Amino acid sequence: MEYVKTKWLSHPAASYVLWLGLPLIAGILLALLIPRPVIGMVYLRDAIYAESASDVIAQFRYAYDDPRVHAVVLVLDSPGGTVADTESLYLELIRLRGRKPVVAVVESMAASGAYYLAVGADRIIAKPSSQVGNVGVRTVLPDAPSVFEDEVSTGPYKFYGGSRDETLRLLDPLKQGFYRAVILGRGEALKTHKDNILSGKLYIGSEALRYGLVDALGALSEAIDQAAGMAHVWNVEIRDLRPLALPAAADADPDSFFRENGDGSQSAYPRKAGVYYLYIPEPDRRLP
Amino acid sequence: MKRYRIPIAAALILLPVLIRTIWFYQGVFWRSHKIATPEYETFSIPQPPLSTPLPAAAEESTSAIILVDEAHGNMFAPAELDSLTGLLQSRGARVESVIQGSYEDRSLADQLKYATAYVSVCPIYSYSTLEIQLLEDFVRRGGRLLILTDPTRSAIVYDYYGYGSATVTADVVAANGLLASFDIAFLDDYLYNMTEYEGNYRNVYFRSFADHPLTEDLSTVVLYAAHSLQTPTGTVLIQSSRTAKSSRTDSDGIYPVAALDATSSVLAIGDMTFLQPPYNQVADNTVWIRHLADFLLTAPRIRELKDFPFLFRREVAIVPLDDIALSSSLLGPIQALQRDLSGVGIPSRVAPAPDSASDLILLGTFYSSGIETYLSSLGIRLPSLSPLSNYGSYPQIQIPGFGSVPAYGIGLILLTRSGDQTILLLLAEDSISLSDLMDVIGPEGFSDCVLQGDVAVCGLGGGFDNFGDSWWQAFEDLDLTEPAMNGSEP
Repeated sequence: MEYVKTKWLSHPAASYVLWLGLPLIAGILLALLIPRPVIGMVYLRDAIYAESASDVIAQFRYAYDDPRVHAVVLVLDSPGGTVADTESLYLELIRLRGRKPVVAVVESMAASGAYYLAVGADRIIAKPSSQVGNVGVRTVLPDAPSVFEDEVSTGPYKFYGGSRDETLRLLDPLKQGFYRAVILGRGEALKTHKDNILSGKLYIGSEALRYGLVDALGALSEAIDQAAGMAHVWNVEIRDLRPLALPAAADADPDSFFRENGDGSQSAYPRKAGVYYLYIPEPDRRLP
Repeated sequence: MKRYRIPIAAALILLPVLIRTIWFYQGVFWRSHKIATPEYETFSIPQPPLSTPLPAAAEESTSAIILVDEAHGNMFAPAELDSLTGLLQSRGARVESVIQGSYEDRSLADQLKYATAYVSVCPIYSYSTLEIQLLEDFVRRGGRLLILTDPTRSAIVYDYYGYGSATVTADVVAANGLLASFDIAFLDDYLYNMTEYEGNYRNVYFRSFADHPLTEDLSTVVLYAAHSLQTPTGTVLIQSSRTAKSSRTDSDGIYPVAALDATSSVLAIGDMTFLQPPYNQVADNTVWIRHLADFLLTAPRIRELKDFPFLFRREVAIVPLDDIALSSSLLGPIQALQRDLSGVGIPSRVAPAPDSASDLILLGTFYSSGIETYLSSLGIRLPSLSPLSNYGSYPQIQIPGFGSVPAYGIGLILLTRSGDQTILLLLAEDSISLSDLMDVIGPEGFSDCVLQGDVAVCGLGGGFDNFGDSWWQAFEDLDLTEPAMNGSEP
């Protein structure tokens, strides 16, 4: 077989170009395969209920599974919500945090269940005027059991789920769980006593910082920087994870959670009776 | 040179990779420890402490009547008091509601005549001045008041015609209006304890008790959201430990929640939830409720004339004394008297002579024989002259507290007791005046009478200035000039 050489290749410079340039190009191409680290943004700007929690959990799972996502910034602006959905979110967040750092940033409010979620993050950053805290549980006691002519059941508490007293008492272990989550999450950063935490007070960011309920005062950029720093990544790409995790999903509808006022406006009260890690800004004393 | 080509090429391949890696990554995130979560399985639902076994109680049967206020928008359902009212009824007491509207204050006045105690639970509408006076007088006469409030029983009043706003009215406002003269005031707060509580922070343990029969055998009482109270002159029966807080200040302190007034006749408690199942069974609450029943049942109720017709506790014998004949003018009033008594469940009969088996209503004149015995205990001295014996001077009756009262144109209603026997004397100048006197007696009390303790002086006909018709007749017959009168004094 005849081996043919092109003329230009026989030139010594061409030889250098080949053995220097080709590896470099290959290296560049290879380098491009190294992904730009992503800081995943997860927004919870709603109460915590089945739909909103499901959305956030999908984003947590996406962040957990996607190697490009190196850290997550959880943006909170929420009064909290149902106990079960809050705990689901919290436990998913803890799972995610086992693999990737999570920084929570509080916009105007992280109350009750939202603060439960925040303490699951590695760090909490709030604005000076953010409202933070409201640790505790609330519920409406069921009616005293009675029987009806047309609606029957197989047990005295089938309609009610339990007695008023039992309902009252079950708040205590839920409260203990919440408090324990605060202790575990905040650790030595906490600078206030148990009674103060469990009083259910809402603190503004600066006061929350003094009590160790948050780590720093700052804006979203600072949270992103801190998340990147904890993940040891630079020059990151910031991506909202919701379109990635839920490309075709519609937004959760807060109207499905909050009760409507008589004038059609949204009240601060949930539609369904239940047990809540929820802050309700003011007693709803207006006419129904 | 050729021998370096491969390492150089390799380096050139790695260089961009390295640069990009360093551009983006400074290290590898590695979490060295497992993230702890709350030990949910260890959190249990708190259970209430078992109630203390009750000591065997001597259940004395009583005939007490306990009034329960339902006339002031009281925020409770009668069934919520079952643990207390059941105990009262099991001991023979009758529990009766005071309801607004039927007879209004008049009804309360009537009911207080026969009541032993008055219970008000979470009143919202204020007591009127007349109601307060009636209840103060009731307490003065040995009746007992139990006032229960509860921070969870505020009333929300909507402004339907304005902006749809609402006002919260606490029960302490009305309760304090009633309690003001007894030197007890509830605070518009609730007590709580964040360190030690019964199931919920607002359910507070109380272990500090006064040395008093009402707190005997109590070691722990639990109240379920309680108002604190203050009393400068009364006795604090139950107060909190130092770790309790008041919602008014959120500060630790020792807060009283149950107190007696200075007369030990008015008991105020800042909670009513402890009466309801299952809370009535927690700790020593059962014993505490039994003490409350004792308090209500053992009122040293003093019956005064103003309590008529509820003066009597058994059958009444109506006895005309020796100088009274059962004439036609008396039969009607006697029948009316019997009807009044029967209307309140007191049987009566006409008897020829007093007996000790019945309570007595004695009908007589100022000159009836044998009445001195009854009058002496009241300090009353009757005129020694007969009405016709000396027209030149006016016979006078000496009544403590009244002074001298002419024995004309008036009647006396006197209440006296002999052992268990209640004796009511109706005395007038003669049988016609006696008939007039009986006419002033009605089911609602005495009209045209001045009542003072156990004595009522009643004007007959035109009042104190008038003399009896028989006196005038006799006077005119004797052709004497009319004496000059100055007020009620001759």
